[in-house]
Amino acid sequence: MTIDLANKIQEILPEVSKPTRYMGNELNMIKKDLNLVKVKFALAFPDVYEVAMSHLGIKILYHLLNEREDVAAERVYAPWVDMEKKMRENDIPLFTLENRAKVADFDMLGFTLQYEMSYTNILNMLDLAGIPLRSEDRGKEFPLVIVGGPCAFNPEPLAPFVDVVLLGEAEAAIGEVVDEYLAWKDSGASKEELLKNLSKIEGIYVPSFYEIDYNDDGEVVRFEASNGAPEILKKRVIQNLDESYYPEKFILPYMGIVHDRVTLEVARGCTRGCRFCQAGMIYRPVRERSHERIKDLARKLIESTGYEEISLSSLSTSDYSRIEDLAKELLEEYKNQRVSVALPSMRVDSFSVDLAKELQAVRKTGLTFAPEAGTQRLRDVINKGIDEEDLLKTTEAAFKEGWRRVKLYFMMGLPTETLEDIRGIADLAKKVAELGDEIRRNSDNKRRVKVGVSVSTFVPKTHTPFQWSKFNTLEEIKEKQQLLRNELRGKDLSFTWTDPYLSTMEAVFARGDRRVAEVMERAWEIGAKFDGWSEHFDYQRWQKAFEDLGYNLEEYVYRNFNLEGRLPWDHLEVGVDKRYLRKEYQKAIDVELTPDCRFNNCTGCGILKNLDARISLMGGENSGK
Amino acid sequence: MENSKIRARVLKGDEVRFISHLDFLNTMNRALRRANIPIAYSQGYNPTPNISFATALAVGLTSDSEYIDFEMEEKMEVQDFKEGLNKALPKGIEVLEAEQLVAKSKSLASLVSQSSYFARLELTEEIKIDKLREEVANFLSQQEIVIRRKRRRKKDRVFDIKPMISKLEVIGVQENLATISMLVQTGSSGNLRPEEVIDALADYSEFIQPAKLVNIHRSGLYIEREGEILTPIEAVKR
Repeated sequence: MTIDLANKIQEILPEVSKPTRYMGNELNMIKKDLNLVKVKFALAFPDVYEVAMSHLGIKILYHLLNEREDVAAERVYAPWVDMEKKMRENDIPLFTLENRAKVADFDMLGFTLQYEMSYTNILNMLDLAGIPLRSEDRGKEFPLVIVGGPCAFNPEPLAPFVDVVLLGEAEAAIGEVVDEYLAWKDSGASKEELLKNLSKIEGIYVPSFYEIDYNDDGEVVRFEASNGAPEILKKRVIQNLDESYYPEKFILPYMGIVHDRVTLEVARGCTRGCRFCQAGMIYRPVRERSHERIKDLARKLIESTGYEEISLSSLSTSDYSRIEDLAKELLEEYKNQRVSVALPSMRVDSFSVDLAKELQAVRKTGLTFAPEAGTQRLRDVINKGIDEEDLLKTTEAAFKEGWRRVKLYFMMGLPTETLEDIRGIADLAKKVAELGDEIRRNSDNKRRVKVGVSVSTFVPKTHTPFQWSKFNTLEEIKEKQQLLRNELRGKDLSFTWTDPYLSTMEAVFARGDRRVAEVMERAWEIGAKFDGWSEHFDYQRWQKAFEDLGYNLEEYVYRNFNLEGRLPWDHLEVGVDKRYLRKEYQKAIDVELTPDCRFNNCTGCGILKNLDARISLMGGENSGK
Repeated sequence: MENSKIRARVLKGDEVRFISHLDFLNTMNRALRRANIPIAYSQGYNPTPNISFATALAVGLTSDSEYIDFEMEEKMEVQDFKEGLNKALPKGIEVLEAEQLVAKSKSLASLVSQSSYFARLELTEEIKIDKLREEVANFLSQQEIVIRRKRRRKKDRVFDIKPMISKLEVIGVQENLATISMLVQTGSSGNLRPEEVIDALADYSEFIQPAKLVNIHRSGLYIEREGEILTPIEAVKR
């Protein structure tokens, strides 16, 4: 039976693009005998292999779960459309990469929610697996469908499709979930019994145990928990990051993937408090790994993969304690093996051109800065504590050192924004370009400067101070983009923007409630999948899906949330007080800054009290020698 | 001083038949690092190991004759090289032989000129081996064998492949499958793909189905020297 399936898969592989995506057998893959384990756990990512394989969370969970002898964790990713077609033609159900086993035969199926526009792929993958889409239609013979990841803090658009949501850091709770599952499996009790047991675990949310009604503004008017499920659900966190599990091996893909390197997470959380940023709120509190542990992991991961690059990752790597020391020590250690060290997500104000110089040796690829907004007023509104002088000083230093390509990231559609702020983006970019050109003319390096301006559209996210903010209309976005297209002409400037229709759909999902679920199911029925891929995204399809269910897409997305009302995600707590978010929202309107609590006083977000957690700045405490 | 070099014959097995040439190269580079082989690196911004392949193998084929020259930073015993690297390589890739390259040698890519392949042919009906041999003989006795090769963003190339086929033999037939071997021109002076030969055969003979890449295996790669045909490793030893 399984051999049949494996053979059928082998036969269609030569006929699809990038067959390596479905091949498995990579170095460090863990393949167990599925008859010898008690729990078969399929770890799913609703996008293609190259994207999925780049995701750190799945790597951690894969190796953590496989450490257990009684568990086999296997990977399954969204087959690209050509592969899906071949699979459907040849009656090949969704299968895992390790054993090429049917996903429907697994005990648990976990999806990580990284991006709203991949939700339709979840439906498509369930369908390809032969698993009913809705939780209520799945008996105990089907896998328990569990979701986690950042988007799980508003899982309401997926509520009818999932059995269980894991809030927060999965490493902290997944063991308990598996144990509970095992006990239930042996007992032979009903699925409802399993869900009841799971709902007693902190951080586990069973959407079907809650009845929620909304008014036209999208506020919750009725909220009822049943089966003894808690009224408020709190996320789980790792208390000590340094002692928490981190894999010492990564699966080494054959094909190039998006992040094809050793990713070393140096810290979790960020205290900067940018008001638009969901990650900055949901990953609190800040916890660092020690230099010693990071260097030990680097050694093991380079030994086990042979990768040529180590990337020190966190939400804001430059905030990590003594980052320069760590980077330089790693650089020195791996010089002979030609392993390079990369620091993504550096901030303008703490960015050191000296460090960048050292990291890149003589390679002068582009430098990226994220001022986020074009005027000081708006940068203060979003609490991005960068001023123009910082940016110009840093770019000047970079140009003088020979860099010629600079990328500037901005957002449009931020609360209180006017066309003046949009013009500010163009003005700032021009200043940078002119500065660069002047330095170029006075130096030996006559290569022209290139300033790439990338402006995405702000999407209000749950659990942030801007969760109540209005999303810009399509007309507003288009007008602002047109203004920038007109302004950002010139030899040294280039401008890229995001598809306003795609951003609109992101906004639908980001703050969507349970009503979106039906719309999504309808959209999937009429062909929606890979919506995050421009070649597959079709706004009209979504409009039609809304219409078919009697809703209007634009009305839905431009809802105004009331500061006092109950929001559809208020029962899911990330540990930051709603009071604090309201206060921050008000300060934004009043153009008031809130300083970083790492260097200043506590700002009262409530995270430590609510989660009984503590900040740990290990990188500073521990010299590593 | 000229760095020392090691020439190796490498297996690309069934497990990795779908990985591209670039994937194969990256896999090798990372295995070299895992194995701590003292390989020489290129200069410049983005140092990569100095290794060079004889030719690129098409995706889907297997081969026991991928030849690679490794430029070493320090001299290393071939036995240590082979054992060390094989421990680090994933399943399906294996160094089968290795030989020290002493003299300054021309690039492998410029030297190789012939490839041999084994292929499984799918037949439209069960026919006797003699019948199939007759079909192949007739195929080869044509004045010319013209094929059309599609090229990306360029006009199709139409050309005669007959002079590029040195050998084409039927080895066996079992039910509706046949095994053939061929020796054809390879490399920079002209490259004939085995599937092109099979497709031309399929066009010619009603008994033969078009090629499937998964049915083809490269069994040898050769250098021509003074009328002799040598494998790249034999060429080193002489």
